[in-house]
Amino acid sequence: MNRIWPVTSLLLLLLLFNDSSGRAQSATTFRVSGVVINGNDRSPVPHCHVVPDLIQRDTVHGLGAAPVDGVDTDEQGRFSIGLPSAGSWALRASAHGYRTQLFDQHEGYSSEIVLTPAAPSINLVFVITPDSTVSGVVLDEANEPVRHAQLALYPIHLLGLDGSQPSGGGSANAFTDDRGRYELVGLAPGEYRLSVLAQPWYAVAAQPRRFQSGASTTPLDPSLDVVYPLTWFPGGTDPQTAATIKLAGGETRQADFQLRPIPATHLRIMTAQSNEVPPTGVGTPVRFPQIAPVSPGGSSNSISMTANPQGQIDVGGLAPGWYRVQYPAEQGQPGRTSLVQVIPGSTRTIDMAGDASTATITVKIDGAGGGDDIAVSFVDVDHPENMFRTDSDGYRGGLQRRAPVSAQADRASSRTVELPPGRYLVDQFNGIPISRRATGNGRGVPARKQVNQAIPDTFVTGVTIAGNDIAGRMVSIPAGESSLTLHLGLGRASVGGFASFEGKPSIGALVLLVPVTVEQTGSITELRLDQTNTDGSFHIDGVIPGQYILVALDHGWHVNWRDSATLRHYLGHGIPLDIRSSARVIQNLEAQAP
Amino acid sequence: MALTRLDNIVHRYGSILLAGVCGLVALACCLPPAHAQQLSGQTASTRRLSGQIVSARTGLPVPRALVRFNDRALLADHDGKFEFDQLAEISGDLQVVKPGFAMGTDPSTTPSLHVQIDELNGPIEIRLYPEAILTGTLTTPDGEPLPPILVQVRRSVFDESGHHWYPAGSTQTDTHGKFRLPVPAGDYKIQTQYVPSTAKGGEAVLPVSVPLGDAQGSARAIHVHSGEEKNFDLHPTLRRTFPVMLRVEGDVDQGHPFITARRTDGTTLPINALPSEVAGELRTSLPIGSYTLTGRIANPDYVSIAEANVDVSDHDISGVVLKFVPIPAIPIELQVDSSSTSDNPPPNISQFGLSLQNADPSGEIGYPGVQINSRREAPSTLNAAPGTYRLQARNANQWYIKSASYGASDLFRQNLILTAGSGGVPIRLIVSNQTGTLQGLTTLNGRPTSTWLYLINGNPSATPVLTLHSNPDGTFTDPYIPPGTYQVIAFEDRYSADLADPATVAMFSDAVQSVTVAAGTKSTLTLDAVSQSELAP
Repeated sequence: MNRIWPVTSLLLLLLLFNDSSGRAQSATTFRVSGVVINGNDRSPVPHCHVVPDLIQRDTVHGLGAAPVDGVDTDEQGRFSIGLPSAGSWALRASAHGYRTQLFDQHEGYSSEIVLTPAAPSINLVFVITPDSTVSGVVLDEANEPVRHAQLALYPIHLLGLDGSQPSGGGSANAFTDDRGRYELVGLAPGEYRLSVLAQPWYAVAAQPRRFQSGASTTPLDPSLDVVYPLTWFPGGTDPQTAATIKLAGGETRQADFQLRPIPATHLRIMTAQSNEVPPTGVGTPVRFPQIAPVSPGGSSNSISMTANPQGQIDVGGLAPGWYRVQYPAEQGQPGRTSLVQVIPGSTRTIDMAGDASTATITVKIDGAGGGDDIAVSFVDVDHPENMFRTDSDGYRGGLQRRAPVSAQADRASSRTVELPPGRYLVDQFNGIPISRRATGNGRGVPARKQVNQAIPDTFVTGVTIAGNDIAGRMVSIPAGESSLTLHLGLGRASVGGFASFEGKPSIGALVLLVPVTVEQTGSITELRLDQTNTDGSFHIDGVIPGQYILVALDHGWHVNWRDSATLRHYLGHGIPLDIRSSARVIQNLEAQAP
Repeated sequence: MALTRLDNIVHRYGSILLAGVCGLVALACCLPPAHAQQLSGQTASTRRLSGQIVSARTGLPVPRALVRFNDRALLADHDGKFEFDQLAEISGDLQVVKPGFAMGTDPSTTPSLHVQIDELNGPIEIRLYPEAILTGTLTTPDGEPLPPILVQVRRSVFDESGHHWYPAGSTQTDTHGKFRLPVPAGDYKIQTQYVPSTAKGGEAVLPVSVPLGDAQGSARAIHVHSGEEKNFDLHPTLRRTFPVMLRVEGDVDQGHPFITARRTDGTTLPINALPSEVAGELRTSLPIGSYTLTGRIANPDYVSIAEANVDVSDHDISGVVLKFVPIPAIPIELQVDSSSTSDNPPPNISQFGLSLQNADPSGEIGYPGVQINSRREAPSTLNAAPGTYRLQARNANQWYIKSASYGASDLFRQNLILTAGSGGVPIRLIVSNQTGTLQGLTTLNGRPTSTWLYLINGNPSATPVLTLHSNPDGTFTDPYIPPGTYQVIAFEDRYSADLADPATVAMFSDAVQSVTVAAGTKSTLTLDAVSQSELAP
């Protein structure tokens, strides 16, 4: 009895305030019930907490948004939850030994529970997979434990279509303890790559003080002037040699490392000061630059800098990778920035007064009102782990810092970025590139399903560099200064509909919205995914206008669609769509058998 | 903030620990014969420094430690042996670094060894102390691991300004509810964090302290030895929580109050109270139980406090009133004793590092409840919540506090009892510069050595224990010793225990000497220090 009253009162509220949705609900009880089972052995999961969340598309502050209390499953894994209204409900389950999972969750996608007055209740089998674990020990070259080594586990499904490693996000992290042990827990089943980053403790402890001017002290014993390169499991330093760690649900994998030190690279910086001030010059304090890694693997933890009497600066303790060497603007002097790639076992010399190895791009935004708040990203085509951004001066996986305001934008619509010359994919930067903007990550812990998350309405339509228009987003950037205009369009579209299979709604189907240019590097449009809900419906927001093929695969999540030959096979039976700006495309389709 | 004046001594000019006979023989066998005769005719080309690094716990070699001598550095080999040759210097500081080990037992100093190369007659042995490990498991009473919970460890430290619990590390429990924290050997207290509500079921996790069931401010502690691992199975209580609405009244214009809730068992919970929709009302939630809520608003010049009692059973609570009342500042007056010589200007109160130790063992730790304002221009004052305190001070060079009183209370012999109505009555300090000199020599196993000396005052004092540090040659002189009779004890390394407690001193009765210092006279003392190995840290 005391359960019914609040539900009916809420319905009354709905009737009072929401006449459009409250029409036929007064007599109907909405309910989701079912059983939660372990995906490994199909056994029921008792004491599992199940919580429904109402998905409110296109609503700012809807009525009925009051959270619904979850319930715990009984000894047989059963649950039953009365719901206050019809609508799309995201159902999430959490239990000890299981990360929080949405109903039928795959990667970042899941099926919503759609209840209507005609179908007011549903009975489900909610399959959740137990958490997987990767654990191990990190030892040094003498088989002694490495403390405080940083492990990073990257889910391979977040890789680009070309197999490239994403920079930054989506990884699970852990540090080793005093025994060199680590444990990465709460992992979703799947395929991963694992890396470890550490500094030899003795190299750090043996370093001279971080910033030292004047007469150089005794040079460091070469055997102590070492670093550990970023190392991929099972032990290589090249990401291409990284083993794929395949985790089944509930599995615990052992992944041990032994780190091998390599000589630290030294960087010699010739400053304007060292070129101008006579060797006997006394009194001018040496200005030390800021040095920040701009690629994964680079580390600034053990960098030490010493200056000789000529004002040349020696930077030690560098691991291989790209670094940004920067003198901020000061007292009317413009700032200077150089990018330098540190390669194992050599001394690099850079001259801050005239550096030819860096490209400086001034970026203008054309369209979308100049887009003051739009940052622009440059992803290295050949090394996609290297990404550069106009509003950042460090590797965004680690040391992300904002550039000083003066450097951020001279005018409202222009901004600059320094990067090594090469081929890049240019895009507006919104946080996570859309192809990876799923709600889940490697740890797969979506607190709630997010809708319309941070997708701007603008999109890139083309690029102009050095006066040449380029169709697509791939540009070749030369050394020195150049300017680039990023053309933006406005009006992303949406695609929705119902998928059916053999005359019934296809539930949990994989929906792919594939650009016809999918195999071209630098294509404007992007491949998008969704999963159908319990009524077969799907909805994809923020679609860049263009030509696509829409495909649904019934229970298709095990299909290796990332393989281009496999994808082509399904595209032949897909539905071509020409999507215009701001279109709201409704397209029903028949799902294909996987 | 309560560091002693000795804390600026960063280097410990400790003794050179000569290897035992066996060690010397063993070393002599495997080192070139040149090492046996280093004493005479050394030049830069032949001057060398060699030795071995061993564990102070086991005596076994510590492999691959980093040895720094002045600005040179090397890694010792797998047998812990090292050698610097062709040294240009005749002396320098030797420092040894190895993860999991420390050169000394006191974490507040970075020890190094001052070495006179010409005085060496062979390889030296350096003992490193392995760290101790505190481990444990945090589970529900029925054994289920709790979600990640912060575990903090505090180290018990005694110094001239009293007893402190300094943070010594923190970690989070893992998915199995386990935690693991390496710490230097010493006395500790483990505390787990209060979690107002967990994702599942919304129950609060109450904090747990080890020693178990102990009130927070108590001096009781867990002792861990160097190289020892101690494990604790902790089972925090889970309680449902209910919203509690607090009405704040009185002197509340000056900022957001800091509120704690003390349970009847002495556990104190920090309370996160946020403004509700109603002006003057704060919303929080409390687990089932009975509490004394204490609110404090600290201003630059004074403190306002409020107190209320709450019983949380099975429903929401409203109408709890926290009425903030400013605590009147207590003036501190300083008088120079009539016998003092007048050739120096009188000292400033701030030089004495006055502090109040909460005599009530359940008092909070980590949040200073006492504020002493001593400025040059304004008269010095003291702000403290009502309570019972013990006055502590240190000496200010030649000046010491000869007596301290509050009304009729002698603060050397009696506690300072502050009630809500107190105020106006000053604390009177009489200071004097009529001191005597204590000088002498400290040795370790008969060899003159730098040590830490502790002087335990036989009479009640605001500074019950004075700390001195002798020079590398073992000599010491301090001309500013307040007159009195002291028990003196020397330790090889800094020793942090309650030496004002006769039971502590009794453990070292063989090493204790008594000395009387009179104003304007010199007293001399020679004493042998308690070695680190006797203490078995």
